[in-house]
Amino acid sequence: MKKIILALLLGLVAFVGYRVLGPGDEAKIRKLFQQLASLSSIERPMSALELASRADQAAEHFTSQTEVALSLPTGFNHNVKGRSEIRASVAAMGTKLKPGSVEFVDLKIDLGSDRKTATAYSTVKVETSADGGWQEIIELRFELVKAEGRWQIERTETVETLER
Amino acid sequence: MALIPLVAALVCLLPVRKEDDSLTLVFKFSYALSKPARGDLVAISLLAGDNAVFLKRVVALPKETIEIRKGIVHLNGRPLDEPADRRNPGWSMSKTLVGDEEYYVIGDDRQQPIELHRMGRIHFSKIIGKALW
Repeated sequence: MKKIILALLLGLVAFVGYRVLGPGDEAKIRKLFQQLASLSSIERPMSALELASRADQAAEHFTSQTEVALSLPTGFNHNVKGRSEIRASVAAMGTKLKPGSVEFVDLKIDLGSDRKTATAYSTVKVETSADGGWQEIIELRFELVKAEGRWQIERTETVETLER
Repeated sequence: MALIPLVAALVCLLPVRKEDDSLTLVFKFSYALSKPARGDLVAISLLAGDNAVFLKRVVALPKETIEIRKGIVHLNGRPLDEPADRRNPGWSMSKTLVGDEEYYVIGDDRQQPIELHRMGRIHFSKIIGKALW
């Protein structure tokens, strides 16, 4: 009986310790974006299968009803709803995707008072050496929700510092 | 196009890599005692921070009306004297009123179509400082 109580106590201490000392919500969100940057960066030409695998992993960071609304100054407009459409978009681009890197140069996170929602603003640098080299800076706003201890992206949209 | 500061931690001078890969320095306290003037090249912080910044030229001041007709910027109805290489005859924009504490900024490279060029109104609080060259 003593051993069971001791085990329960140790479990309780471990749980409380993790809640107090474990990674906070902001750290978890930053890690999510690091993983997204890594998954979105293509170091070499990839097969359709490899790209599909990357898209699958990236899609897991989005809610099932996620919305992505991109409108870039280059005239590129793209709206996607749901994880399946994210996967389909990547599949449609397929091998046309050039090797390049994606970096979240700045990331500002505002946690909601309920600790279950958050808004993040990021400056994203997309760079490729293909086709003579090309670089674009995009400003994005993300709405995130926390479910079962895990943060996921509910909405992604482009924002512009300069207003016409 | 935004530009990347090299060492954002420097207190008063922010080294910034320009689009042509050359470097400039931005003096962070340029506007501590005065306000931006027309023609100033200024660094502008983005919504998420200032590890990447815009480097744009101040064209219109607060409360002015800006309009572009065949590449020529008009302020309060009068043409602005700018170098010829900043005039793109394909550019046109209807009248826009610049608000209090706002500035209208445009980049120097105006070769691309106006829709693709990042330009517009910016609040004074987003201006980091003046580029020294």
